[in-house]
Amino acid sequence: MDVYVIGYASHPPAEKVLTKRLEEMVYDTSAQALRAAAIERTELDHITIAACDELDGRSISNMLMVAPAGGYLKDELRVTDSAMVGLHLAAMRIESGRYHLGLLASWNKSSTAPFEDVMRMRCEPFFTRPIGLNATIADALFAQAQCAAGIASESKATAQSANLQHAAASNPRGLKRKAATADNIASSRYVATPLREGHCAPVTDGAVSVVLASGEWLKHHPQAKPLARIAGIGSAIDHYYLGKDRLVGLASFKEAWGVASRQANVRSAQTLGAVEADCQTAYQALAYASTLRLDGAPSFCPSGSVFAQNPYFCAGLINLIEAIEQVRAAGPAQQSQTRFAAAHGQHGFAQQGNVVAVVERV
Amino acid sequence: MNRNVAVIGTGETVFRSHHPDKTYVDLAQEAVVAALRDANMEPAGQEGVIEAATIVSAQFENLPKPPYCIAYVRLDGVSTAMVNFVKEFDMSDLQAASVRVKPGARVKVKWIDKPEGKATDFYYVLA
Repeated sequence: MDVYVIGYASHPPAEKVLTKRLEEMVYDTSAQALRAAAIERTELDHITIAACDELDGRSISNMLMVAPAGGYLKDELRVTDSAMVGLHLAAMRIESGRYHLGLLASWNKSSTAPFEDVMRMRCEPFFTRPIGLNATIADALFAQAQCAAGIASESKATAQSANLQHAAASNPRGLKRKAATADNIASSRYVATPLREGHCAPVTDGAVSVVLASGEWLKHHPQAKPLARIAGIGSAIDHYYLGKDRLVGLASFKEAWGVASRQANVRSAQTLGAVEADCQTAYQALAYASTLRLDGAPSFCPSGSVFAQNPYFCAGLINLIEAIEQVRAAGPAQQSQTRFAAAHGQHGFAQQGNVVAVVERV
Repeated sequence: MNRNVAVIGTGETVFRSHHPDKTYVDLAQEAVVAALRDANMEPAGQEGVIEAATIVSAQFENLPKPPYCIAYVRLDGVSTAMVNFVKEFDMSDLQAASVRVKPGARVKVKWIDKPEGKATDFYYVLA
């Protein structure tokens, strides 16, 4: 793909951003990304927004968010699934040849909206909503199915969570929370069996903006320094109901991974410098690592992934930043093989949708 | 079409301009059940197998008071799993209870006394 990241910014991590309105968070982040790319907003020929009205806590939120995101009087498109779906769209817009310099903006300020209520209302109204699913309960169903399939166990999840929290504690872009010990995780309360509180990454507030450019634009602007090339990107979605095949198969993750790695001409996950996966729970981390044959590998989530910070909706773009930092040899737990790295984002109940991007050093 | 496709059963509601006594769920159900019976098929068995289950032990806003168990159950004779509560078993020991509802466990459908046309008209109990 002839698409490059030339700048990015992420809002300082916070469990809750109490001193700024959402508009201010997003404005600050987009402005910082433009400064990092050393371009003016007027130079942009398009903007892509990835955001969710429900998590913003209001309807038609975009009406208020386009301008602070940088989209005033710009050709703007928006997706509502996840930030990584936004990255896919933004990359495709440039790959089309019609656009050359764009800004992607995404955010999550779920401290202003009841996160689990939002997720519960995503159930269809007749069969699942009266029973009451939410993100945590769907994650627990996934965890149990993975245990039944022999891929995960409670003790493995506890060890995985401890590892992720340990990595997250030293991530300079994370919240730098003190890592819980395995004993603390194992004795934390169950939220929904077999999922314990210590197995879950708490949702935080955050915002991410990324500046993307075409190879052609870079040719005409030699002073611009690309940070990484988007070498491949794949997106897939699974069916809605959470039966055994869906929870064990990881079909959409495998599909997204396959497309992205084929585009990037990457043969296996083991050849990547880092794989930053969106693991909302330690059970998801075990499942992804097992699928990619990266069990216990230091290249799997060296940043601590969402255990460092977890702005749920834009967590995949945080992973993108971490993957870019790896290929730039500036990761928090720098890996040795760093020509390629991958970032992953998921959305929907029990990772119904998955997007994978492979970035390459330039 | 490259493959032969056959209609093996049909069902319809009674033809009438209004059905004030029935919800649209009732109407759809009437037609579907009639079509299945016409094809000598049963809608679904009254027993099935758990495909995924969890015992919720945290209190979430607008959800039931914990602990409660929900499970995706594939009823006999159908190919997709349907979610509902699993009730009438001891959940005081979460770990022991979660073993009883592990994937593969068999359950039975139990109907409430006064169905209201809702998903909660039935629940599962361990077989």
